[in-house]
Amino acid sequence: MAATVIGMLGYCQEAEDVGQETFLRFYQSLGKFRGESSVGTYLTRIAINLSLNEIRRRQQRRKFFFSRTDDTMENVPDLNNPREQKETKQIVQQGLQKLDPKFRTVLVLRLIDGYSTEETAQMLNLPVGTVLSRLARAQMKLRDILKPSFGG
Amino acid sequence: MNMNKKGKKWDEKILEFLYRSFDGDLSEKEQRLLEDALRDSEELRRERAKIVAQRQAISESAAQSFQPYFAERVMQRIDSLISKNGLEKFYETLKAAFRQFAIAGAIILIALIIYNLRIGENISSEEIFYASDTIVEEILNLPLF
Repeated sequence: MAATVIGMLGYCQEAEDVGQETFLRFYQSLGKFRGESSVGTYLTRIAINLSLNEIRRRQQRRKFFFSRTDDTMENVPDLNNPREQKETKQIVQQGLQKLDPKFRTVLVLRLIDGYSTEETAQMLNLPVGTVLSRLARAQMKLRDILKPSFGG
Repeated sequence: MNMNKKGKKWDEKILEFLYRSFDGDLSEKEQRLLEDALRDSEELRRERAKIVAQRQAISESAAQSFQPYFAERVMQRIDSLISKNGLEKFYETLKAAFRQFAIAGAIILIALIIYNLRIGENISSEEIFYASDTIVEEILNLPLF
């Protein structure tokens, strides 16, 4: 669950808050949980929804304060700056934060959480074909984002 | 547009096939096109190696956990939710019980007033409440605190 939320929001206080909220929501909806999916999948679905809400809130805040419409995080360090290049893990994390949420979500579910494309499609209520094309495009976009850090 | 070593062009479509091939959804025709392109192009094979490395890097970027004592913080929030819910339930029960008593009391009072009015001759507090005017006045004049 930490992998999902931090993959979606990066290492920040909001990720911790969303993590806590995910378990609270799960606790509150225990009565409605019918066991049709595994607990892990159920938690992941809550975590993804809450993360997407948080991303929307961020975008609104950013629009309000900075009149910006792009989805890049305000506090993501410049990957071209060698002083800010830390470990590969952090660079990839930061790269993920620069992706559009719809691309980020499929990458997190498929490559970080390890769900199959079918499971990812089910969780996001999307056709499998859409998930597959988003996956391909997400990787291409991430490749471009990470190019300055890792080279061509 | 990219070129392979034989000068054949492999375009964005082939690159997309390459990316999609990792999730296994290519049709036979697409698979064949990709295999041909891979066989012919050294550059495309390098591209494949880079994609493998990138996918591995993404998988390895997974955070293992939240900050220390995350579970304790979650439990604290759940505990406060339980106690809040407990208190709310208590007030709800109290309210529901009070409502029943209040309604029953009001009905009894109205019934008594009607009964007393029917058997009495004058409309006075003594007739209505079976208490003298002085007692009613004293009750009404009692200081609240």
